Amino acid sequence: MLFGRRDKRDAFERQAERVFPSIYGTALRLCRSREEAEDLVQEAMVRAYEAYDRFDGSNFKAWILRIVTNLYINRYRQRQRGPQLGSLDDENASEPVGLEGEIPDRLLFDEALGTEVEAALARVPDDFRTAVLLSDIEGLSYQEIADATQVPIGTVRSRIARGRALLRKELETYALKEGLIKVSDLDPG
Amino acid sequence: MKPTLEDLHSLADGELSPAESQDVIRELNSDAGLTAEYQRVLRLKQFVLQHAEVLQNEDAWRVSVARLTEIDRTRRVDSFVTRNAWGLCGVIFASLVVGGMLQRNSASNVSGNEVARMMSSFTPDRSSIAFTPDERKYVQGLFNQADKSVNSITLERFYVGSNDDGRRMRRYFLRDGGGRMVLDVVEGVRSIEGMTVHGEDPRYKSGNMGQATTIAWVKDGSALLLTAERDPSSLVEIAKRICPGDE
Repeated sequence: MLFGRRDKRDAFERQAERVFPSIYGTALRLCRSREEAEDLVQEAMVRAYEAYDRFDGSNFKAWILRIVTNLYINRYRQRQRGPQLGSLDDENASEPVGLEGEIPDRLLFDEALGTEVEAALARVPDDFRTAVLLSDIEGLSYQEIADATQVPIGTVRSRIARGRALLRKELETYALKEGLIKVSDLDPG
Repeated sequence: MKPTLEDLHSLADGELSPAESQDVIRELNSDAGLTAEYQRVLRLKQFVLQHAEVLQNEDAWRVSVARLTEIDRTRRVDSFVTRNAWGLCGVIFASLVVGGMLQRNSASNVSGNEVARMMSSFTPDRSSIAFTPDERKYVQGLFNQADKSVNSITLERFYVGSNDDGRRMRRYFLRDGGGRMVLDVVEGVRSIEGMTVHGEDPRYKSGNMGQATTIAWVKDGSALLLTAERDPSSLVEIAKRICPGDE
């Protein structure tokens, strides 16, 4: 029994250590506060360790990120919950594709640095940011994101689409401010 | 049907079924605007992935591991207590029983209330005829010390046995000019508590049993209980004569 527990602890620690940058990164990108992110990570680690017997062995990273996200939604976001400024209706995501500004991506992306991407991502409203970061940074599938955020998979689809659109707008704003692009670049015509 | 924005993102994320993918790709091939939008989605995805910082925090990892260690320690204790709850209860109960028995059987401190019970529960296991040489020697030694020049004390008979505590006892029937006395010697007693100290000498304690008076004192790890229908002072005097070495 003692050895079984030791083995379990070792296995958990090995897997958790491998994905810890993702755990901490997700927590920090969700909370946007180092202190709160550290609290969230610790609580998630404890929850995950206590529930490790129920882990089905398939995708540890997706499983533990689901715990992180659930905890964030249930606890941390409750006290921060307020109007989602700049958020878009999920319904709007189903509208036909429009050609929003034909800005050459080389203008938009070539000069941007990691910190600016992080800053732009941080300005995307919660629900959309969560979907985008779990998809694009952590590589979770839509189903895994739906499990993590406790919403239907259709909502995940629309949040990702709108989240990326918002992120792109944030990057454009940054690029304009920094002079990387001109206002005339925003003119689709 | 023209694909929606969601369809393009789902295609970029590999979330469409093969049939859905084929439909969307067919539309993309026939619409340059859609193709450009799709390419932008792909580039944005790649850009975010490439530029997202890898966020390390060694301190957070160390603190988390420490918490897991703490949980393990707590679980070990909980598990031990849970698994052995009945055993622990049994051990505690057995300790109480054994402790009580030891206290009862071998406690060297005897309360005044126990004195009467010790005396009344005496059961001789053989008569004086069957004394062992050691016992005879003990009795002779005891009375040889007595000052027989004044009102000499005679030993009528005596018994060896035990009381219901399992303590070994000797009971001597004595007689002097004042009448009959009983002297009980109870082994394994170092002090008697709770009886009244008689006179100025704290070694001698007295109590009444019906008409009789008992004087109790301790000598060489045994309690000596002298009982007769006399006043305590005269019994103390006799006690001092029986055990003059104590003075």
